[in-house]
Amino acid sequence: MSEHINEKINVVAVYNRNIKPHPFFPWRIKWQGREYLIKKITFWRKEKQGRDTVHVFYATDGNLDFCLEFNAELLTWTLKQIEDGTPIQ
Amino acid sequence: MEHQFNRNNPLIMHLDLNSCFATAYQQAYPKTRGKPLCIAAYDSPRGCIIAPSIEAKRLGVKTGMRVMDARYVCKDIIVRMAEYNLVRDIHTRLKKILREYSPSVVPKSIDEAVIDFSDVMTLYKKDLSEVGQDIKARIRNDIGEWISCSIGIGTNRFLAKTAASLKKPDGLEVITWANVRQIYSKLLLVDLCGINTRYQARLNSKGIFTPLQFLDAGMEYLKKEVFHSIVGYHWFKRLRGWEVDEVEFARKSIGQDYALGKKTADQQELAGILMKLCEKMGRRLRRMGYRAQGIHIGILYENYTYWHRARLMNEEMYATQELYRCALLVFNQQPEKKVVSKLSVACYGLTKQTSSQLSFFDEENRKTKLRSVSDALDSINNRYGEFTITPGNMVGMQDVVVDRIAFGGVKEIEDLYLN
Repeated sequence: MSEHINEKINVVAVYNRNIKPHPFFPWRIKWQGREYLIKKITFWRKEKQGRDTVHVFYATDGNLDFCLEFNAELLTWTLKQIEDGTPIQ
Repeated sequence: MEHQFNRNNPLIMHLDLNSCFATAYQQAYPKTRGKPLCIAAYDSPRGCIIAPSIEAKRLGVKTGMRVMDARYVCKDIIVRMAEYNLVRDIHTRLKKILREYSPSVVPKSIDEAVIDFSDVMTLYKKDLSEVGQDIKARIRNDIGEWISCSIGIGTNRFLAKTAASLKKPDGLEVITWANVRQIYSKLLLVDLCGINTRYQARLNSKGIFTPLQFLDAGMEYLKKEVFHSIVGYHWFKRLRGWEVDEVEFARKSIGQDYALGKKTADQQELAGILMKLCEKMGRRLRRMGYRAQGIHIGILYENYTYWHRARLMNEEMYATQELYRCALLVFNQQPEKKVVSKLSVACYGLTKQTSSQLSFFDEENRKTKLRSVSDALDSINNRYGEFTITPGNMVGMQDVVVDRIAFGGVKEIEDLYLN
């Protein structure tokens, strides 16, 4: 199942200059009262939304995959999408 | 010499990302890895599959199938819509990696690139196959561990592409004068890039049934008997490893098209879609610094009939309003108002924008003002995001003419989406 969420969420993010290529990444996220511990960032990219730079992190906690957006201008985190890898849409 | 096979060192590399859209999705969402997945234009039953994953391909799912047909083949197939910005990002990263190996990198499409090592091979103290393995490792390391590619090496682009298609996924093949006959002997005519059923029929009618027979055919025979044109000469050279495809085509038109999710004959709704197509086309036209002289409209109706018309205008078009007015003029010339399933608009007769002379006449001043407003609207949209300000008749059009990646059209990717 893949679901578009588009919801502002609470995130604990980490900056570790020794981690490449993305030293800044989400570590814990809280969504709908549950906490998820991010185990791996599977992909990171940035895009322009108007003049704002948005960092898009694809992350997984092992059970669920997340697409998270960090707006570097507004300093907000948005959960864009979740994916559990099942065929149901 | 041209009659012989090219015996130079193969220095052209063709790189093709395997199931690009699907592996990009699997890279981002690891829960879908190792499962049959297909990326479709729409996830509805009649949506067209644009990329099955390697696992889905093994089960028989093919590009171009409908989603419902893929579900007949594999009941548990995962169907998702593409993440276009993700694929664009991978394309840009790939290009960046390849440019570290050679300055001559030509992207052929969103997932393919040709790298010419002719000028830099002396710098490498290893074989081109080893460079290919290096590139594969870099892709896995810098882009993602799930991303794989097939690499082909040859003396020209055609042989490199043929080599890349020999082993998928994750292949690396080299075609040289020494093994070319052996490789051609295993292929069908339609396996050659550029030969499909119609060319195959033409070749068959002249007694050519296999790539080996095609290779052995004389130049005069191909030119005068088979193709009746220079195309025969090009094929003669291409098959022997001589470069004939290193051609850069200049841009002649800018166009947008849209296959309607909900087919309609409602002229007001179609006018809204036409407006959005013109707005997207106009944004690209202005970004590239062009003005257009002509408009082309193409309409595919529900009953599979097609109508199209092009018209050259007296004046150059620049603002979206100018493009839309002319497009609507052509659109209204349809002989019958039937249910439309696909609408396309293109502008042609492109000229580079130059400063024009100020005019005494009101009409010219009105046009100048309109174009200035258009530039101002573009600046706002650049600042706050696409479609922040839109023309009035685009209201309610958020879900139509959505973002897509054109087949082959990759020239604008860096300019439009990443800078």
